[in-house]
Amino acid sequence: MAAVAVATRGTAPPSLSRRLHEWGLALAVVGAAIGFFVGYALGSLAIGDGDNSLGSNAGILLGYSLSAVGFLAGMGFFNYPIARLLGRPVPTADDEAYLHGEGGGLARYFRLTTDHKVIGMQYVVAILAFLFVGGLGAMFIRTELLTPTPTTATAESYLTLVGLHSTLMIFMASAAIIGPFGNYFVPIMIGARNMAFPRLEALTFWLLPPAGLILLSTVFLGGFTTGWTGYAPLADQNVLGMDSYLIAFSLIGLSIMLSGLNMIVTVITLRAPGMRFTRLPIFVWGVFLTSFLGLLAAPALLGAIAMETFDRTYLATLFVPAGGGSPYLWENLFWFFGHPEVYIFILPAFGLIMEMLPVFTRRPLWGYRVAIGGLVGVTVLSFMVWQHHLFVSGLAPALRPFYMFSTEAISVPTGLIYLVALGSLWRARTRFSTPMLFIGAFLFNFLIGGFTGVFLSDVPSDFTLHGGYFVQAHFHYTIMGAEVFALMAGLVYYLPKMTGRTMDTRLTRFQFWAVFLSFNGTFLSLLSVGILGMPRRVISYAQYLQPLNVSATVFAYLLGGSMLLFLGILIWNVVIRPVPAKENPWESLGVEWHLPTPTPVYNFDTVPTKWSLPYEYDTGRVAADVGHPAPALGGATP
Amino acid sequence: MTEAVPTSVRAPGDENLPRVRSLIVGSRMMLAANTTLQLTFLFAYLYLRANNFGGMWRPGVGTPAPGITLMILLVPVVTTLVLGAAVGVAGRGDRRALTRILGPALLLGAATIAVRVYQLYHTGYDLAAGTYVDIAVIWLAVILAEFVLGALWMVSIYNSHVRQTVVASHSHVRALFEYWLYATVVAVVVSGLIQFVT
Amino acid sequence: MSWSALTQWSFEPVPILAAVFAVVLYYQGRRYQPEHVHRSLRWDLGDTCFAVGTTVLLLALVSPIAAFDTQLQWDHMLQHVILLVLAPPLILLADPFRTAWQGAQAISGTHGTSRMTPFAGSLRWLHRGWPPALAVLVAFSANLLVWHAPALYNVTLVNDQVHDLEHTLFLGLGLLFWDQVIGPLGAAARLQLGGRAALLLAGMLVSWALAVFIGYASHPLYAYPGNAGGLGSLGDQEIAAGIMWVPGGVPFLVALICCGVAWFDREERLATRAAPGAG
Repeated sequence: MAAVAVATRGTAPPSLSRRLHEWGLALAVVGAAIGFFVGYALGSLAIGDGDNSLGSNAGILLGYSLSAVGFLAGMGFFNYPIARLLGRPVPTADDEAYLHGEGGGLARYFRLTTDHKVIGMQYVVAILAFLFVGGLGAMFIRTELLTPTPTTATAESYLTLVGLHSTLMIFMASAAIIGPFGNYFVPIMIGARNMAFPRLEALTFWLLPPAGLILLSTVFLGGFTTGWTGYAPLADQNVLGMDSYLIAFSLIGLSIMLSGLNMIVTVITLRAPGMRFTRLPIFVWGVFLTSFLGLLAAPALLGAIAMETFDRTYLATLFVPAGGGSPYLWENLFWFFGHPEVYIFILPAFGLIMEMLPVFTRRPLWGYRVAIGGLVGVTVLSFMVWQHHLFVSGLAPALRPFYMFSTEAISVPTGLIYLVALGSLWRARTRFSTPMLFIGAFLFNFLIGGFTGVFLSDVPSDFTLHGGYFVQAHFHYTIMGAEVFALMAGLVYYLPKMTGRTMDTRLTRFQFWAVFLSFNGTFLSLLSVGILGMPRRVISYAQYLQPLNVSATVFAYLLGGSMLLFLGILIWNVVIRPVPAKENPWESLGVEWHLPTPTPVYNFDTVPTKWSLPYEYDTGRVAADVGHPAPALGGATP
Repeated sequence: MTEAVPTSVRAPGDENLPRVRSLIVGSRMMLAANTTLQLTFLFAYLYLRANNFGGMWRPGVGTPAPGITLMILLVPVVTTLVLGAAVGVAGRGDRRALTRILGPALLLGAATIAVRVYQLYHTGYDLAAGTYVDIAVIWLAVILAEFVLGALWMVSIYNSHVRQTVVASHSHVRALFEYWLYATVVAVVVSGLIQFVT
Repeated sequence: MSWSALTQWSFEPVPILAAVFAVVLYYQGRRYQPEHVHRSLRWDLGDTCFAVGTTVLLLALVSPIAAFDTQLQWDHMLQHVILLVLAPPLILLADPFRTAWQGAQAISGTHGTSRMTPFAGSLRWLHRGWPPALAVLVAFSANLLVWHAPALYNVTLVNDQVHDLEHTLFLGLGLLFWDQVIGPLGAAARLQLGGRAALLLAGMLVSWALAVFIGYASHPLYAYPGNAGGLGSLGDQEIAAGIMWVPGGVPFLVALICCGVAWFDREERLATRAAPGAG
């Protein structure tokens, strides 16, 4: 390892800005509270006009908006923009070093920190938190559905529960791979020492806590009954709890858009010399292309939400038929975002899986170009297929065949990606390490998810299956079965690098089988129930469907238990009784594995300029020489 | 996670300030995102207009006076032209000349916001009078927000330049100009649409 | 509609004669190809593209597609898609204008005396990078939008001269647009790959936007007679929009893929040149 020179620190006392940053989280909470009350007062006053409901809507919306602003102000996100606005001097090197977390320590994770690796770890915690709370919601839902008639919940509260579960999981899924692994590893993989806009990246993370909390606060405001899709006119008619959904989702949309912007600019402008696009690891391609989806699709969501808030506060009728509006307009705008959104979920997962495959097959990735072509094809086509969500919702009959065609066409590039994975596995002497088990499960689950999607893309079958549990099982297979399994694979694989600790192998392998079998038990039951005609988002159902629902619930409990087990193993092995990991336990040739652990603050002392693809397992050449000795290849499978 | 982070050499450019090329590429990417936002409103506008559900698109609504409309359009156009000239001045590296031209640009930017706020509050029609009004008002509000952001950007460049904390480079001013050009073109097109395609 | 519709060919003399003339010139140009043109004398992909392009163009203008274009909107849209985005790129892939000029020289006995048609020479300004490319994009898009304004579109349904003008402009501007994309890479001042991709994306988005507008309209926009063979005017219009949207977008997507592949190849060459041992 190259000798390093410790960055000299000044002896001047910490600046006011730095002191405020140290208290960031506390100030953020105070700022959120102040922002809420100020916003509520202003909103109610502005729209009041004697009409309490409108004034309350405006108050809640503005209150939540300003509470988010106050939260971010307390965290210190406005310090730099205000300094620029006033023409004040740029932050000192010491202040910037502090922001970047040079001092180390746990406190970095609880304030505005610009080190992309810290942000990646913050995302790990946030994603697991969303998964946990959303998962609790799933347990309540399945419990309620043990019987065909309502037992503990009313229809409205059940729908709120469904909406909370689904919206939280959507929030989780939109950043499950890019958040932790994209943030942590993309700059390293491209030879950069930092992200293009470090403060912006920190912002994308810190938008998540207020979004989650604002969404959860819906239970105190009467909940919302639209589910995560927020369809009008129900959204217009809903009580105050709907406002929570609108603001929370707009914060997430902003986070998606800004994260996409940052990743794109980072990959374009900060690649190391010699790191050409044809040398990019496939995971970086996945993140890069997904970022275009996020950047270009999220504004449609933000525009639609702006229109909906307008309806709910100023008595506009953009989505209300009685006033000349149209619910179908909302559906189109929402799904113009919503369909690229589901590819935001899965493309980074594809990239991560393909990145890990060569490590365990000990061969170059088969069809690197084909994989990129597939990823690009999915990215482009995802903007052309949103109408398949509207086959039974008002899309003109004559237009349906065209979107059936384009939706089926998107399975071609998806299939190419799958082909690359299978080609990489073909006749390989695969090491079935723990991450490889999750990769195999990903491929199995996504196959089912993909096939069920084909049925839904066909208009005649969609007529029967739309709005039922078949659809629900399809997207659970693709989002949970594929993306969440990819998340688990990524965590098992990358935790040794991110934390220097490893998850217990035997326990994790046991957990894998538990989660894989229980997941398939749950959602195969729900696929069946869907084929038998059970609609979604209903608290009561026909008696003959009860056995399958009971089966789904039992497996769901096991699934919940196995997810908790994963969380437990992670916390136990990483935090409570840390198990040190070997350096490069998977014997990967990726450059990230050939840096010290923990990775240095600025990643590289000397940025390498000669790069190759990190899949040269036939020659054993590391992707780039970073001067850190690699362990000998050919060790035992961990 | 809690142990000391390995030290590494801090090199020039490691500070958290975006590099010039990142700023330019990022600015253009944001304009691309903005395009989707505008297309969202365009779709809503044309869809509601084409369908005229219940005859509630535009029941008996007047249009703003042409004089006001002209000024609302001209001011951002002039602002953009001045910024275009500022790009040339910045390219020559004449710091004082740049200060002299950014000042008026700033005033024009403020005027842009003023006339657009005026427009928003003097549209001449009631929000309860059809979806034409609803979509027009919210669209104009979004465009106003974009001009506000553009003005704030202009203020930050100007103040930093005048106080010599961050001297405005050709790339900075060019990125600002591109943003204002985009916002102005959008504003002109949207205003034209709202005025003539009713 | 019945199968007898397939027998209704219009056999317009102008497009047929023009096609014959073009084929003759092209054939002669290929036959008497000068040595400085590095192109195989055998039948190649360019010849196939020229043949297919000319054939579909003729089909659009003389087959039953043309016979029903004032009665069925979807049929008319198919015709426009051929004129705008299918025939022009296929024809241009054959380097037709230089080849035809070679043919004209061969026929007149002056071959080898001039490498450039005066016409092409005067149009060199078209290949000077972004300003003319932008002008072509604007003209292509404006032409598409203007002719779909109901007032003008309805005139084309009843006035043959205006209809012919519409088709001529579609084909001409289509050729100009695709010429920006299908020029030789590395030719001086031509758009680079990124510029071509941007041009394609912009052109595609304009046609998508128009397709969305037509497809989502709640009433017929144009004065087509009858009930479109049982489809109804609105259904006919929606299918037309679908044709513009999805099949009409395919040539753009294919061209974008080609740009992507070419860019990737270039990146690979640069990467290998920079680090011969790596990768």
